[in-house]
Amino acid sequence: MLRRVALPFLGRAGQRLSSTDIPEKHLDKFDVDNPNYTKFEVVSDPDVWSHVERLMPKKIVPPSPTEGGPSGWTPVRLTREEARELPYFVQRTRNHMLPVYQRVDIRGPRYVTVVRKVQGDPWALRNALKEHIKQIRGTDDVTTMVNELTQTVGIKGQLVEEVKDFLIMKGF
Amino acid sequence: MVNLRIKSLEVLRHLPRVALNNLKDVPHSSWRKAKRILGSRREVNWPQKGQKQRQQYARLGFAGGSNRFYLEVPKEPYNEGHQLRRHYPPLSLGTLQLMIDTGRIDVSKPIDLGTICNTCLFNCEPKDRHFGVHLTAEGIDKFRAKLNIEVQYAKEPVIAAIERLGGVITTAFYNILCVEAKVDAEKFLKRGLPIPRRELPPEDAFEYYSDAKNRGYLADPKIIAEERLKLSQKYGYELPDISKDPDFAMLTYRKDPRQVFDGLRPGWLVNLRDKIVLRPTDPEYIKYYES
Amino acid sequence: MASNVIGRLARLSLSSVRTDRNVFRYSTTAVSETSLESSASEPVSVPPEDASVFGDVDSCTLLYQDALESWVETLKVKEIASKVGTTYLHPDVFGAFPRTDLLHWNCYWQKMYRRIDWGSAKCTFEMKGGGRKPWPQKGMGKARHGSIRSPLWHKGGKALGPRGPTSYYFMLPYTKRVHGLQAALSCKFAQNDLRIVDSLDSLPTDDPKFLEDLCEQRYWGPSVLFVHEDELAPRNLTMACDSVGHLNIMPVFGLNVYSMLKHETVVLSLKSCEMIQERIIYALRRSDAHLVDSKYKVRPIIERTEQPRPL
Repeated sequence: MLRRVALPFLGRAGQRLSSTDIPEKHLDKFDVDNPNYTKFEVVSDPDVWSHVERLMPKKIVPPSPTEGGPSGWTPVRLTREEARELPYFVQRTRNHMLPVYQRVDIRGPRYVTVVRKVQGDPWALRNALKEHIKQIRGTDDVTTMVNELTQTVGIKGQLVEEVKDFLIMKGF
Repeated sequence: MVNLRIKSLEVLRHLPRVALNNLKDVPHSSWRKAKRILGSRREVNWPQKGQKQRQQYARLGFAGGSNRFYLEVPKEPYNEGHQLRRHYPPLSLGTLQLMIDTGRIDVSKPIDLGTICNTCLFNCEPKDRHFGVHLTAEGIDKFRAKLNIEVQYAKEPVIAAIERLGGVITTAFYNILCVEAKVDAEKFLKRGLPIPRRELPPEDAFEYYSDAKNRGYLADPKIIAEERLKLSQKYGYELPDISKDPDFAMLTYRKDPRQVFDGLRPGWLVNLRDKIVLRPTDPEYIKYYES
Repeated sequence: MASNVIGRLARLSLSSVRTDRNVFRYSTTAVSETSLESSASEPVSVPPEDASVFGDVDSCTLLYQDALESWVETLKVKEIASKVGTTYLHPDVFGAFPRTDLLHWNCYWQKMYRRIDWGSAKCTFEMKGGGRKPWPQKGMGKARHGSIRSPLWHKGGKALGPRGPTSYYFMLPYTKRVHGLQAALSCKFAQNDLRIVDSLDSLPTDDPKFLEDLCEQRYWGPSVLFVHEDELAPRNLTMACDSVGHLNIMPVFGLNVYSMLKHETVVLSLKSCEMIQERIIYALRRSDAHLVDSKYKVRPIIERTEQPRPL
């Protein structure tokens, strides 16, 4: 006797027919000699199934290549030791891209450049980024934000390329 | 590094157990959007009586007799009939190079619409009348890959960029059923339909796909070879001799004009459950699918 | 964490149970917990550096965070000294950032998406009768009325009552649901409420008392959730849990945030732990994650009263 298990929702119990249990009313379709339906045969080529399998790859992102390419993309250039020495670490997205995005509010006047997936101390990353942007801009006027819960660091302005260059420089 | 994850998990050890009675959303996580009017039936939102309810309003858009707004502004029907046209969502050479660099596309095999859609990075919706890939020239300076690619539309500079590196580009037409098959092969095969026969392009596209300048799949290969040379002279690069290339077989691989999937012929029926492929033996079917 | 009690493992003979992934290490002698507390030598076991032991193709996380180590217990004996070995856990699954806000949203979603309020009240026009003006407007000395079924009248319709079944269905985005599971598992693990058992068949009897005493002795919370890898749970465990309300069994594909937080302790079998890691890692590494939600276009309607804080 099976105890009724606590399922949060009903599983998808599809009614699946095996090739062997065919309902009576459809039996005539499986009759090879029936003149009303197409005659068929199994393709004997052994490689045919490999062609079919190639059509349906499992949709998992392949591992990150170890070398960069002509498009300007570079992989993470840190070893375990180096990564642990740094006060912070910016993890790549599942597509191996840098998690730097531009958020737009109020249809333009407010732009925020956000760095997501910040591990370690986000305040240290914020300070480092702030210094870097100050040098580029030449002024001290750099507004930043840190959200520890969502592990993000934000800078006011349209600075995606500058932030990405900084992160690549650090090896992330 | 002070790992914030580990630190916060260590802090949790000294805090009360995380349970259903102490969960809370982050304050200010989302701010007030438009008030939900449609669900409300109170007089606050639907005022009654008064001058407004008892007036005899003119028809909508009436502006006192002249200068109606909807007639003042001229109509520019650029997108008229867009729902009946064929659309080719763009894929830039820069994006393609990025896909290759990040290992999403394997350059050692021929690339076509199916390969590009399987990366899940390209949005092709047959429901929106997307007929395939339009390879654009953005990022052409960074493009450095030698490949065999089959797209649905490409302009001259893009063709030149690919051929200059020793690659091969072909433009081919897929009718909408075949596009559905290519975009999501598994979903199509689960429909239980036999692999379709690719139809010829419609009248307005036939000329495009039979022109060697566009590297159309219906064009004469000899004229294509001539056009390759002419293009190299026009753009000023030396056309590499791909016959001497070790990947010659891969680069010159081309599907039959009626074929949709590599290695599978039209008319075949794939049984995913029993892992077999069936083919019709009736002469009429064979004649139709092999024509 | 557990690093200061690993020293004792030096005495244990190590042999892997699964040859494909060298993650679980079996011990031949049972080790008593009291003796473990005194030892403090350096760890013998080194956490795996490559994510492939978990079946993961590529994990940045292992660059800056070690795999977590967890005891593996058995249900054979009641006593607390029941550990048979240790296993490594993927830091993305069991050591994720504890996002309590996502836990809130997951629990809220689980409660609300299938909620339907059946309350329905008839309006004036839905009540039987009341189409005619009951008496003339003037001259009767009576109050003026248009219908005998107006809300003012006895047996009249309800003016602004609930209107038919109301659904609270919405879909939480896929990544939030996945992250909710990661956060729930991580919180449970961090607070010592996640236990891994070599197999749920190791329960020797079907006596509910045995199981209850076992949970008592090991300080497993009043309510325990046993997670099995199959939909058919072992007979002994099923019989034992059947009569006890606060001991529940769940197949691994039914694991959800609400149940994990409702039960004080969550007990995973080793196989189900592996399946959970595989599934969550697949969810984190799949390339079509943004397409999973494409058929669900309903979002909750939230009314907030505060403006966002300026930057």
